[in-house]
Amino acid sequence: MKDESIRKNLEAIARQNIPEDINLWPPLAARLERKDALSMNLKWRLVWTVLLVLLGLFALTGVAYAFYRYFNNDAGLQSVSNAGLLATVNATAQPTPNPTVTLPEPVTAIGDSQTLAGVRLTLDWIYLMDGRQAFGFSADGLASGKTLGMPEMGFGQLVPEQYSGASLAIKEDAQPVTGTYVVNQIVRDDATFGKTDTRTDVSITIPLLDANGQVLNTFRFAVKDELVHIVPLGGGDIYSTTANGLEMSLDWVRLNSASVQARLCFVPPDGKDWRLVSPTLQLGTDPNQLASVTPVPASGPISITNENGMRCQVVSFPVSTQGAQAFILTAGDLATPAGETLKGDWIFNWYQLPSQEEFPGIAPLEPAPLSTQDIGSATTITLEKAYADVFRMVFVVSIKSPQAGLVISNATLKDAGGAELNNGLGINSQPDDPPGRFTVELDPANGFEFAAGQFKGQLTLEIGDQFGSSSSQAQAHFSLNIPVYPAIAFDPMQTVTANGVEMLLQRVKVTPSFTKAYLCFQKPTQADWGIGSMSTLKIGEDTGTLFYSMLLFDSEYVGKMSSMREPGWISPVKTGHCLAAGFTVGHHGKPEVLTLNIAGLEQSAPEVIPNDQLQAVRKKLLAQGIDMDLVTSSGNGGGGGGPVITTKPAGMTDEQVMQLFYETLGYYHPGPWTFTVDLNP
Amino acid sequence: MDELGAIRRLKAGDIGGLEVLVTMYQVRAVRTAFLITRDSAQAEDAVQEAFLQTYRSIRHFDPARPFAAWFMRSVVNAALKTALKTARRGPAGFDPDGAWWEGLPDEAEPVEGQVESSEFQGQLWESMQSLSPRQRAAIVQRYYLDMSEKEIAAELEAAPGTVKWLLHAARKNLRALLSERTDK
Repeated sequence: MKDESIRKNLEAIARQNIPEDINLWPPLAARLERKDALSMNLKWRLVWTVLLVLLGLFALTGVAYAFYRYFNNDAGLQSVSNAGLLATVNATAQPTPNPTVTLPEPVTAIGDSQTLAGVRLTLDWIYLMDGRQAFGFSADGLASGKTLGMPEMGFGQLVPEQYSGASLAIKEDAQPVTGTYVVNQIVRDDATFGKTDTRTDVSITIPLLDANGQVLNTFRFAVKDELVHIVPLGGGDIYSTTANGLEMSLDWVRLNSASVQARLCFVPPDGKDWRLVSPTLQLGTDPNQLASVTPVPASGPISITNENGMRCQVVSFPVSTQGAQAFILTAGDLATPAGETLKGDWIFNWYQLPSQEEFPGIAPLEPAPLSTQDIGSATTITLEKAYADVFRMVFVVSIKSPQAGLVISNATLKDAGGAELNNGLGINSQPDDPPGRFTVELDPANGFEFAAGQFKGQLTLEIGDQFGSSSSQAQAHFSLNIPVYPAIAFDPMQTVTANGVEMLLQRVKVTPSFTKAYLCFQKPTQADWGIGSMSTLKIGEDTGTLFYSMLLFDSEYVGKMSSMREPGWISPVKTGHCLAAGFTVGHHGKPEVLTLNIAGLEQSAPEVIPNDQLQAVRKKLLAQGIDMDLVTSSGNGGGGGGPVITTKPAGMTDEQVMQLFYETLGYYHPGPWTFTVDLNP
Repeated sequence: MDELGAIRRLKAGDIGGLEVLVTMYQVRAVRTAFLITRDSAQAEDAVQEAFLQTYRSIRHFDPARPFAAWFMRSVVNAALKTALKTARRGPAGFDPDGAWWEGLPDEAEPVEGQVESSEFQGQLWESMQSLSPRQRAAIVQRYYLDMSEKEIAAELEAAPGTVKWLLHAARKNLRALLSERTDK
């Protein structure tokens, strides 16, 4: 019975029973449209719109609580304001506290004890979240160098997914010794997720080690029918980092009072005897000040294990962990005994050590929810101004409260019949605004347009201590009766050819604050080409960069992309790619000229460039005097990454380096395509 | 739109991204689920569940990792759950006397090979019915999805030894069952 024979015959059995032309989409779409699923998903969609926007800005600006669009950076809204189209409302309401503000359930107290080799270990508590799991323990009799090794947790029939690191913190400076273990992984019953609570049996093993790190015995605990709490994922600790084509993971971290141990794993390139030679640790009490902490080199023997082609090294740093909250671990270079060296920026940031993590019932949750008295009697929300056109609605809002730090956490627009109308949500606060003033922008739920004319409906504003509906603590409702400015359509049907690609500007739709351009082009290759992010649109004296681009048609996907088409829009081409491009520049009342400049076409570069491509491009760029790498990381807060430019020719900007990088990879096709349209009201 | 584009759209809440992923993966996913559940309707249900799970949990997906492996793990899990439920109720509607496997051989095979292969497929399929759902899932992961033991272990977050043992037991059972049927 050969493997290939089994494979071929399984393939044949499957092919015979399941035809090639099955189509699961219609029943799936129907299931997705069911009310229960839709309401949950719309909620997530809203939350994620906000989160993505905020995360994007954090990445760009590095400023906490930055907002995604400033009024003074929005030419369309500025001209709306200048033209007097921003209506004064000045309606004030007292928010009603949400009835559902409750503290999460506390950890489960256990109290089971075992004694092995003179050490009495007590499992004090356990707390399961679907994205991370934790327990706390205390120990008596840990003497003569005995200590505890990295625990393991099992979850009955549930198979953990997406392991992304674990940590163990042991406080040995008091009796009994106490410790906390946290592991990041998904533990979830797929069949019941989102419908009913998941409960699972839990098994815990904790090795007892001697002074040489050898296992003396193993403590075993079992917990029955433990609740898995649904808690939003968070964190941001980095589990794996890819640099110079090599992925390295920080498998676990173990903290004692006077040292930190870390296990780093990687697949040795070319099967050679690569070893970490210069790891360092920056451990600190302030996560924002870690960069200024002097790196401590690893000391003592470094243990090396090889498992299934993976090499793992446990490195130890002699540092006091007293009060430590976060660290940066830099893996440093790899080297072989023969003297070869492999450099890479394998850097791991951990912003919350288990010893500092607060679990409900172990430590109070901060900040505490607003009290009913604060909200009900002394807090007001004023809807100062409003503007609406078919592409967006904008409201200027202010909060007055004795409680500092309140923000608009969510906003919902409903029509007179109670149907939700908004999807995208942006919340903006200008640096020179008085505290508590925000601009709230809502985009149409269907992704296309609000109805022009007079809008009658309700705006619900939620307030809380941070953004996102999950943090909302109170809400206020405002009745709206405001004009919605229509879009004026122009159909220039202009064609421009550049760099072998013909592009058609079919239509532009313009409101006082926004412009949408409908473009079609033949793609340079069969790939996911779109217009470049450096595209600009100018009307009169106002210029805006690309705000969004929405796929309307792609002849490679005829019949499969119906959900992305705009109602009523008909593709002017039979082959090629059409999209709608939005710009925050508007037009109102007077003849003006619109100039649309598409600088180039871009493919969506994969978040991880295949290593062979990356190394080939790095080699080409090196010949042009550019030394750069793309470093990617993933962890319990999602993935990320970015370029590291070490050397570049004098006078060249980082942006030019990156454009050359993507052009060399084949992900950028330079233009430009420039269109001019006379706008006559 | 490529896979990454579809994932990005889905992460942003655009259901169109899921439609693209369904188009890309539905056939292989349903075939995988079928080999585990042994029932095409149950296989389609399991894969729909896997796509719904993808829709719900795409926010947790790390794009640095291959989507296919991540998604097929959901498919195997969903199919395994269905198979485990079915196993408690008794075997699914497999008719050993039926002509279900007629015409199974690869079209490229010579006639002699087709006969031999058809017989082998029948024996293989019948033998797989006798495996436990978990062993069947391990066989499908190893041979149909072409995953290494290390990959299976990584996907299941199980110790490599556990997977090795599971596959060993499955192969041993399969060999014994095939041998029995060949001898008859």
